[in-house]
Amino acid sequence: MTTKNLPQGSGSRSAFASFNRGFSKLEDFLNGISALAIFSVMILGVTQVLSRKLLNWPILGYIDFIEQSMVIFAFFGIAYCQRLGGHVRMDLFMAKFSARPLYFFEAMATLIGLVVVTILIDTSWLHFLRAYQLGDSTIDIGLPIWPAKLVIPLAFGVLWVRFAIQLVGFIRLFINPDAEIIGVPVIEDVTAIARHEIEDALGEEAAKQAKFDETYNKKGKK
Amino acid sequence: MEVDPLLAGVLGMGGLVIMVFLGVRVYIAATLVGMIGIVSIIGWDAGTGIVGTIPHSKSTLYSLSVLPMFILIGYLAFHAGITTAAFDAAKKWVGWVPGGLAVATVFSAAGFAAVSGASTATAAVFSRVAIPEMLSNGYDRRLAAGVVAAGGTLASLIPPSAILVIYAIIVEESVGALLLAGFIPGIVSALIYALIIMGRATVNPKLGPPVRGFTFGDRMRSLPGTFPIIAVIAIIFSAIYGGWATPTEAGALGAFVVLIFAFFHGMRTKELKDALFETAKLTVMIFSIIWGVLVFVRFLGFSGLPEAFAEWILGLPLPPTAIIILILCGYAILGMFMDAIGMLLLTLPVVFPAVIGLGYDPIWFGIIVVKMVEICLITPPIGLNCYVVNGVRPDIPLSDVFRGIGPFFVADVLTVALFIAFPWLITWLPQTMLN
Repeated sequence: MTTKNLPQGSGSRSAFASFNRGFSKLEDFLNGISALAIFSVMILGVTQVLSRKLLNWPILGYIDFIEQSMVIFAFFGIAYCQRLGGHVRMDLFMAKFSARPLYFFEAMATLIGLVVVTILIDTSWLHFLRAYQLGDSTIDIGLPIWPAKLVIPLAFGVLWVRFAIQLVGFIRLFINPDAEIIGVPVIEDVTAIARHEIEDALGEEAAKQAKFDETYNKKGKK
Repeated sequence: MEVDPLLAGVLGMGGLVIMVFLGVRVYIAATLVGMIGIVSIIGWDAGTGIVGTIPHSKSTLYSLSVLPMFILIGYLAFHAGITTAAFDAAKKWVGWVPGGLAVATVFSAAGFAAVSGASTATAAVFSRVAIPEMLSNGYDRRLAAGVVAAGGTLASLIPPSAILVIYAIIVEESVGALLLAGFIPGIVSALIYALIIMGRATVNPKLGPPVRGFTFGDRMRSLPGTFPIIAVIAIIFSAIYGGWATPTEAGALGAFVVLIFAFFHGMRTKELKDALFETAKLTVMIFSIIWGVLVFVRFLGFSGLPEAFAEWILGLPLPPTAIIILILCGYAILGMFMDAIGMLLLTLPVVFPAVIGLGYDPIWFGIIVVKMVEICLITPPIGLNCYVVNGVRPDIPLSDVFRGIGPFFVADVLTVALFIAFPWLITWLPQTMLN
């Protein structure tokens, strides 16, 4: 199941909310770069096939370029996806909790994420340093590998800040469950997920018009 | 501190399950358990050193670069007007059979699946395209809703399918073989759906009357609109079979063709941007879970748990067919509660060696497991596809959608049984084409 966040604390003027808004812009920008990289892989792929087949002139180092650019779409959007609650998880049991226990477990899960990412920043940085010091390069055209390896600790750094924002957000809600939801994703039920699927396929208008059969859910719950 | 590797493996698996149940994102839970496990077996420095290399080394494999291409084709396909054209063509060609419009829905959904790998999205689109026409022709609304929800599930088998690529990466099989292998099972599933509809509409013609009156000229004129579908199928198949392009290049070419059609069909820059942003989000989600799970898989390798589990399974006093049916039932139950990609990635590292030990073909198992996952999309308690249909057509109550699904659920169970009885239905195409 997926989750998605509410509008980012638009009514709130606190420093926390404005930091969250500002940081979201950075995440949007990075995900935009990732989108652009995907578009470029498509264009490069088409050019490679046509150029190789029609002109017998393949792009030199095509596979090296693709492999080195893969870190962009594999990592640039990671914090964006975390903010929107897009990473896979199971919220079947979480959805049954009431506000305070829910926020407690959410804060715990976020803390675990923060710890894991902290270690990953350290270990992936060392991995980058080794490549930089040894001067590793790709097999075909000898592109240096360190820039791609550097992307990973940097992207994890952005993800670390997102986890920190979410941890503060959940602790804040744990202390005061009625506070405005800022910077954290909320759990969606199956109808909300269905609404997103409809939005992806048919557009915002159709998603707004979508109505779900409430009586069935109520019957099911009895 | 010395830790018995097998014990660490069992504890790790348990820890992973608990964390996932408590809402920790799968990529984080798998990385944490993998990291603790590796460190406990080979020590902090060597352990974290290995873990630090995995995110980079496992996400820069060229074979994975096909994923964003396939996902992009799917998002662009909605803007290329393919669904309406496919339904129109199918209606004109097969509308004359009993339950003709429902049969046309099945075949056009199968055709659309050739440019899309997303079940729920396919169900959403066909709710809008096919249901109104079926209802205005006096079709039973349960049949109309059921066929759309079930037709959506064909998307995961018929290439391009992201989930089959992920399976191929995790179990280290050929991406091309898995993609080819999904084709015949997808068509067989569609044919069985169609036969069930025709059988029911023959017994009770009120369910879905035939639609006649189209000339041969009408039929031929309906075909050009389906060109993107034919182009994408031709590109992907001929590339894998003929070896003139890698799956990534074929995916890029397919995405480009669909993009051109989408522009001709009136797609604007904003919609392209949205499609690319969604593609990027889904791509990073899939890559994160892949490297996260591969950290966990590395730990399992050190622990020896997969071998021990396989040994235990092989020692059970049951015939292999009974064991495979039990495993599939396990997947059916898990699939009710978990996202398909997460479920496959978490279970395959342990289950897959056991299944291979039983003598089953790895390609065959991939297709069967994906089919099971798809069945979960149309069965309660969640049945996301049914909710999607109900959301687009609120006039059809959810209870009717679920009742409408009944015959298709039976069809799916029969299809899985057929694949277990005749595994060559799955393995023949990849073996013949790739040898």
